[in-house]
Amino acid sequence: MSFLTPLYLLGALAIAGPIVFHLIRRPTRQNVPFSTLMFLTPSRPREVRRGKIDDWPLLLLRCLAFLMLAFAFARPFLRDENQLMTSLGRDVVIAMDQSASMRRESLWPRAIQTAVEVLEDLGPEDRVSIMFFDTDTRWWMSEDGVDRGSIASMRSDAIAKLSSMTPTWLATDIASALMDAAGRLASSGDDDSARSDDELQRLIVLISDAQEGADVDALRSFAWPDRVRVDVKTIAAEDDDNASLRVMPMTDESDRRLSLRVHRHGGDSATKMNVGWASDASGAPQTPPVSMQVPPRQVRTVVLPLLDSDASNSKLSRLSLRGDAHAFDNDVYFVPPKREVKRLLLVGPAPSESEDARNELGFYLERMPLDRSSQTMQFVRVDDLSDEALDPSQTPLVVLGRPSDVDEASRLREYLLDGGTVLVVMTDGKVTPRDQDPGVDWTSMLGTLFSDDTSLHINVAGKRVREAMRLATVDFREPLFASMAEPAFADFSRIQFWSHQPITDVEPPWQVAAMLEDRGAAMVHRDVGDGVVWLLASGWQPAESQLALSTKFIPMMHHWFWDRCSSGQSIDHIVGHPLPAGWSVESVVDRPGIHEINADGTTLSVAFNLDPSESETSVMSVDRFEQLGIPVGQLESTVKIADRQRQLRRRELENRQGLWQWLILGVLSLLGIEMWLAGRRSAQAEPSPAGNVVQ
Amino acid sequence: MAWRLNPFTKSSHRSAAATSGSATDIDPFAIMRIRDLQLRSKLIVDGLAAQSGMHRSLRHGSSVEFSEYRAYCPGDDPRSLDWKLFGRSDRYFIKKFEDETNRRCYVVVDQSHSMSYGTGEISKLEYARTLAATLAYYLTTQRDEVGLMTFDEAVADVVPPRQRVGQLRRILACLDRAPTGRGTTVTEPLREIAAVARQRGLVILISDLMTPAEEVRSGLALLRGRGHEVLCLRILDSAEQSWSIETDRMIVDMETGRRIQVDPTLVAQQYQDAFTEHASNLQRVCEGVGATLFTMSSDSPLRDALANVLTVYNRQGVQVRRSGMLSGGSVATGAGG
Repeated sequence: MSFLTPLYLLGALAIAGPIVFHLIRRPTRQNVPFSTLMFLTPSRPREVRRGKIDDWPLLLLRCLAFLMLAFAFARPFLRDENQLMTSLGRDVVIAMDQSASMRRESLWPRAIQTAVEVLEDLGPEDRVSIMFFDTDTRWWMSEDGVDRGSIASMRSDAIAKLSSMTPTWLATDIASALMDAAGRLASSGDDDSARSDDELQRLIVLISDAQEGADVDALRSFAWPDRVRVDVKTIAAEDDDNASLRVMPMTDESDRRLSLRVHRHGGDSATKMNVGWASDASGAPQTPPVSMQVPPRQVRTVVLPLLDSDASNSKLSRLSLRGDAHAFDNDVYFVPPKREVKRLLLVGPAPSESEDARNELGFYLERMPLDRSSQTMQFVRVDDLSDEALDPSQTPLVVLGRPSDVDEASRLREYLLDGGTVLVVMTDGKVTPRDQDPGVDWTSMLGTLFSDDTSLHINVAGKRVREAMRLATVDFREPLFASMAEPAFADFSRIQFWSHQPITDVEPPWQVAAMLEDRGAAMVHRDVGDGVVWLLASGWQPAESQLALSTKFIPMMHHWFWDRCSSGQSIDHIVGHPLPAGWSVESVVDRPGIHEINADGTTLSVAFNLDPSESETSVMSVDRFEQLGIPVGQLESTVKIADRQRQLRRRELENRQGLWQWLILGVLSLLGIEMWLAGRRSAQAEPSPAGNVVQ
Repeated sequence: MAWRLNPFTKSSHRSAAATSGSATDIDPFAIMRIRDLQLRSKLIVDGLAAQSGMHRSLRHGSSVEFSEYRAYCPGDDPRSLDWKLFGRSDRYFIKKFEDETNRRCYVVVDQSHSMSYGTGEISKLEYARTLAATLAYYLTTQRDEVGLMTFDEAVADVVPPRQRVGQLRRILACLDRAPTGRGTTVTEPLREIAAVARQRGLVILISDLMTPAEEVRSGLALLRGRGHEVLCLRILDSAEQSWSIETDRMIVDMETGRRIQVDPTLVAQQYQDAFTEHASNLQRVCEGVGATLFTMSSDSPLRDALANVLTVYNRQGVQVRRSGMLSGGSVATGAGG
């Protein structure tokens, strides 16, 4: 027989009470009124009698009642070893944060120590996997490979593996890691129907510094599987004062200054910080560092002179930040950018001196602000294409301001097939007079451009219309107008066209982007190979339309020029992010630094830096996970689990047997007998009535 | 001065047992259960008369005893002139008679808490009330002036002796009143009674006299000094006359609330000795002051006890003597039944 709450057996000691009371014959406390005490003198209380039980049956009844009551409270049950045996195994995934932020202080050794403690808490029936994660997840041990009978050897292997690992330089993606682990746990238990529904059977032990910069928002849309809980073991640094350094993009290549942003993520008071250049080899500053006071959670900008690459005798440049508690993100690598020149080719005659330059197409293209951070637009006007190299990578846009002859059209066709963009502006011949072949017109040019097609599917041979018109329809689904689809920018009705070349009978593959009030097309386009041809029914100069004077013109030209042009070769990259297309490296870049990149046959020096989010080292609250719908639990040691399960089984067994109820019934019966017996004894003890008061 | 208890003199030799079974007899204990005090006292008196073989109510004419002659003065009541003497001597004389009135009787009842004690059906107080009512009723029927005084630690109610309609009712009403006092101090109440009862008469003190004998002495001596005839009727419970508590108990004084613990086996003899000594002292005190002490047990039929009292009282020929201090008193004990 066992007891659910054996401490209550101590209550059996209460039988000492009845025994003592039966041994002691207490002086009576019953009062008897008497008329006078003048004939009485107080008698001394009698000596307490010891060593002789007063009333054995009553004593036995009372002692038995106390004993049974103590037994009842101790919740006795008959032990059934078969039912008490419990065997529960857990699926546990230890998710180790291996990101760069774990390089701080002693976070990584502490994380390993925590993982070791978790492993030691596991029992032979548990199945454990270890997952290292930063932006990717790496599984070291699958649950299927664990030998359940040799938990000790598994532990030693796991500890050895943990000891051999070091933090990477990548960012933290907790969301991906948790989703991966939860998916594995959810799928691993599907075929294990014999397992009980204990909600802690599947557990992810997340060992991380839980920095604020870690990405967890993706969990918001993730359907978290049932019965998988997360035990967040936060490895927090003692000092959360961390600052990060970032290079601001350079807007002017000629500017020899470099803007840097210092962002302090923690701390509790303003701290002096130094920013300066350091050579990659020795770390000695090449220029005096710039000092500044950075208050907690504030951003300061500092400007450093850009080092001359010749003076530094190296292309490698490293900026260092000093003054915060953690140095893992204090170095930023920088390569001075090289700007790329892209040509905008206008094919047409140069304006004569006598004419107003503002009524010429190139006047507006030349002044068009189309530069980007690493690319510059170069306007080139030619009247003859024969000497020009038409490479779409160098010349992303060719504006055709006059009809081309067959040779030009053939070259343009090749240019189009390579991915170029040709903008055919059907201007009035009076504006751009050219001594051209009389047999050449817009139709014949298009026929040459689309020589592989039996039909032009379009008619541009009509007589030029010289009436004022507006745009009747604009298809905002077109990428050309997509940026202006907002109601605030979608008003094209103010743009008037004074004259235009009618574009009619438009059929696919031509697509109409905008139509005039006479239902003729104003802008149509058609793909040719990798390129695209745009037809504009009118020029943008004020002599033909108000398009150049409109605010819509620059976005449209920006689209035509840059839409099919690559964004340029970045010389700044984040470690761990996928490389752009066309880049290749000899070995995987897994740490910050200046690395040589083979980009489309050319070798570039690219600065690989740490993900800025890794610098946000403030500790994330565990509540954040609960807000994201992740059930948070605690990993219990095997001993605790076993105790809890055993206690649960014992409680079930005791509830099923319910022996305490019978004991309570027995106690009540004994008390009834005791009361009857005691009453009888009392009646016998007082045969003669004492004096009473008769009022 | 004649104390007219003569109706009992003829039947004093009769015992209560001799009358048991009489057709006029009523169960004495049943009488005590009658709540109405007047009816109860009437039944007792009737039974007493029947037991004594006396007629129920005797009317006594006012007797006149010659005192002196004096010369007539103008203004005197002409009806007081002794015409016979005037016929003999031809002079006006006023014939004065000694004022012969009915007897004044003060029934003094102790209503202290100790009187509430009782182990039988009735308490000593109830017994005393009935006794007082019976005496009042009996004396009223003899046209005596009966008054009532109740006391505990002080005089509570006073009904001056009168012979008038409603006097008995007032006495019974006072007796019916619940006592409010607590202790017993005989001296002070008796002193007050002596101050109030200026005219000589019979003072019937009904009490358990559970007070030191010396205190009783001073009170009784004061009354006797005033010329009163004092009859002490001591009411005792049977449990008081002999110790009957056999188990361990805390004994609580009903008057003072004091509690003492006694060993019944040890205290019985001690109590008996003290009680007997106190009774002897009381007896000695009463004899010393010329009072008469009767001890009555509350479980004895009141009628029989009262008959015994009257019998003994009349047999001893108690006379009112001013110098009562010099004559010995009489003692009788109502054995009851």
